[in-house]
Amino acid sequence: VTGLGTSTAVAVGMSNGPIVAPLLAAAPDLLDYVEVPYEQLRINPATAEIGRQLPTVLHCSSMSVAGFVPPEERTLVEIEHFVSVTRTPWIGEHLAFITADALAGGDPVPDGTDPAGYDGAGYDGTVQLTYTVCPQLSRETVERVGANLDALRARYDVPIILENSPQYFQIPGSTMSMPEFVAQVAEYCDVDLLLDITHWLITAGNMGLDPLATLEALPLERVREVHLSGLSLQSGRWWDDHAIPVPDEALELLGKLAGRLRPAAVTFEYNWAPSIPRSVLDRQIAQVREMFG
Amino acid sequence: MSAPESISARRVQATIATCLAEPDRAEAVAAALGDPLDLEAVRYLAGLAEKVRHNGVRADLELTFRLLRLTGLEMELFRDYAPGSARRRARGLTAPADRLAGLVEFADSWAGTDPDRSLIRDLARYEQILADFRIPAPTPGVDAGGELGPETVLVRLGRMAVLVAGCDPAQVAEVLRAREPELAAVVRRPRVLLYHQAADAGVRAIEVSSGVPGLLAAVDGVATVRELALRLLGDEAATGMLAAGYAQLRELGLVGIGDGPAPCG
Repeated sequence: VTGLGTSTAVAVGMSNGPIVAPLLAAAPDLLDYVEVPYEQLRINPATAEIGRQLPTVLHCSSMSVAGFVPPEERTLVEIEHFVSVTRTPWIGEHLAFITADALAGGDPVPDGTDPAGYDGAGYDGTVQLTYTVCPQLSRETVERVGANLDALRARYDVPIILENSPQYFQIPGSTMSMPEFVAQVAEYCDVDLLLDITHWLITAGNMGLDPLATLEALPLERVREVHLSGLSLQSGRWWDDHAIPVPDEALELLGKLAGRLRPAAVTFEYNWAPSIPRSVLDRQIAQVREMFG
Repeated sequence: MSAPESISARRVQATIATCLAEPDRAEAVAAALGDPLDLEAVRYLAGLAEKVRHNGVRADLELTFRLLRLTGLEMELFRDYAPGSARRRARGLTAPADRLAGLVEFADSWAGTDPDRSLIRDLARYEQILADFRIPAPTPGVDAGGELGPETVLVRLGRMAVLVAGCDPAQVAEVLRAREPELAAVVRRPRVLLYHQAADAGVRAIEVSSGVPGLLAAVDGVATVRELALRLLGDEAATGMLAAGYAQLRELGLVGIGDGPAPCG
């Protein structure tokens, strides 16, 4: 992959979705790369053909890197295949879980058992979710991420970088905030980060944190990729939304960090949207290029 | 964060995942966790995942999604739809057309009498009708010509769909396309809209009286106007009045004279 991960210039790309092919047809030079989710490639391997036009970066939601139930071996083998096909410089994965134990039916905790710390028994198979979920923010999870990454890194010849989850509610048993959790994961696991600015704003908004102050406490030198997407306040909470324009607030926050941040890539996530006005895309892409120019 | 780490991370994940996957068991499994879990937030998270599953219908429901965002009801709709949608998925209804139909059907029951939800229901149904018309299909019926009388056999011409709505969706669409949409500008009035597509023509909307859909539905290419008068009004003497009504629908290009069974006698 030319440029990405090796060049000193910050590449600007977009996650693959309905708007990307028409955009590339209309403006072949607007983007430096396309980020392609493994989950899309799994369903439609021909998606990888976009790599003939532009470099591709592999994104992933299926490794359950903060989880206690590993993904199926087949999934990991397929990811390996797509690492090779896409020639991605890294794998961006969510610092989250997507597979978990299923609690058995009936009384989930046996009579007379203290639910606190109850573990192991009462599970009945696994639950495969379709959307990544923020894990418990605790030392136990940090160490679990480390163990999972050790196993995963042995399989792939490109680095795995981890993306902060959006936190929508307090996760039971958490002993630290999201910023502390991400910082501890980065240090304990010696792993680089995919900083999702929008997820950060969502977490800050929902958990009452200062987005800028908490970001400055992160090891920003470890941020290899940045994600930007829309967000909306609905029913009293902030929610991720890849179908609406990135708000100015997110771009301003990124701008405030630009002096301390040197990502290899900044990805706009508009992959849920059937359309985004071209004027918005042009302005935002130019803004990011200028920020890191 | 000051709470001691007391509940295993693995158990927390199992609980959240089970709540998401099996909403009917959520209260029981959450109660057994021993530490409060914000179940309402979990339900919304299930709604978010549901919303993402419906990305494939966004192009067809573009205005509906815009209205959902504008009213702030997007997350509420998908939170409420998530359990029913999960049951539909379990039945294998996962094709985009299935998702579109399921969502529109749910919006219909979800709307109740709430004005904003009703607007969403009407717009969703409207966009579903337009999506259906975009799928190529034969436009049936040819008017064989001649006088329309009591012994005439009628046929429907073209494709049609009926929308009973509290607004004119085309006017709502105009409002939504404004740079800063003002929902107060939506004219809310009950109406019956007939969407019609003749052969090689675009889709047109015709506001009709409430009895028209029934008149059109009765036309089967077999029954005469006299027989329809008996069937619809229970009175053969109403044949003349009915023929006059059908003549108006014929002028609109909605029905024509068929080449069905020849009149007797």
